[in-house]
Amino acid sequence: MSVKKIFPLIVTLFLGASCMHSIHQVHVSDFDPYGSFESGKIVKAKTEQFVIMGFVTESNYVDKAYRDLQAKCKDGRIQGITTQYITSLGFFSWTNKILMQGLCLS
Amino acid sequence: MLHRIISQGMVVLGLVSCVHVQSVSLTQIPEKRTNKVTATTEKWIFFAANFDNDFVDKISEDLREKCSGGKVQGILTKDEYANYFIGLVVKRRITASGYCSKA
Amino acid sequence: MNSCLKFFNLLIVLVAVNSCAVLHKTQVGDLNDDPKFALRPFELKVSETGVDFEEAGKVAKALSRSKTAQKDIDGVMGIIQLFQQGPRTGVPVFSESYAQNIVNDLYKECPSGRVTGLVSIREMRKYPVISGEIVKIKGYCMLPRDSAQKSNSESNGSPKTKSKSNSKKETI
Repeated sequence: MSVKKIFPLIVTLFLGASCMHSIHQVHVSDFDPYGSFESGKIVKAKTEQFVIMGFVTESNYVDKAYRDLQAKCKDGRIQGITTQYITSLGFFSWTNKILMQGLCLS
Repeated sequence: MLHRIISQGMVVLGLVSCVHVQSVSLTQIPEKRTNKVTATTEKWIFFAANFDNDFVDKISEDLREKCSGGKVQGILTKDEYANYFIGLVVKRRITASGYCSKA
Repeated sequence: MNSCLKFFNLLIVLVAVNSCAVLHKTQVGDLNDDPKFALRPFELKVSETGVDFEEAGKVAKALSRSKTAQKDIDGVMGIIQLFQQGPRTGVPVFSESYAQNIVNDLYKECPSGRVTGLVSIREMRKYPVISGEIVKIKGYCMLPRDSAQKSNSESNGSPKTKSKSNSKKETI
């Protein structure tokens, strides 16, 4: 087979076999009681769960993100929280990720 | 012998659940986080036969009971499902946990 | 000429049938219609181009003439599918962080933090082989009535729309 014919297939293979991701949802919480951006700071928490062929028996990474976010704003309240649920696809495995961000007002 | 091992392995695999998260949401988190309340509701679905989702309505009632006269904030809602027997039996579970504050 | 015309017609049908909008998830938040505040609508949209390799493979197979080429395409697509295992919403994209800065964008729209009536939408615009994976946040910024009247007289009160595309291909 000539290089000209095989080259597009190789390029496609490299592109397709690279890491691809899927954002399932982005949820935004309410902002009440209201606080301005200047009076707070953005806090983030990100956790992951590596899954091989779908064999996983718990989803504690979600609760861990929840606890981590609260730990970053111990004496304040967090408003305008965005919650993103993402999966990074892989070879017979994938990584589930939760990203929570909000404005910490103390 | 091999036959037995394979069949036993399949039974074990069938009993072990594969848990997947369907959706996650979080409401604004309050300053006072002393009284944590959690409500869970679940439903077994056999052979994909599901005719209603009324089990979801129970969760806000449960939260209200656990924090009657108060306010529940910082609610983490996790919607997950567990597959058993290669998806023939599914358990759908919704967990809502938050902080109760009473005036 | 006939085969050219047939191919062109097929292409038009393919584009027409395949370019559609798909709603994956939507969530609605509280709405506060306090009479002391005017509600200025805003919309934030971030998107990324997704590539459907399975569909690309089918199109490549349909366009290729030799059986050897079709077998090779099948082989490559099979290998690609092994590397793309996992739950997915819409078509997978190359970047996971295209919606990461949405909190900052929200506060840029409304620095006072008085945001209400939030609707978050996860949708997809599907085209042949590629798609636009979109995250849209719509809401209202609560402005005190006096300042709202001033800003309305300046800018004719049209809703603000900001969209960010992380890929040039999204403009299709």
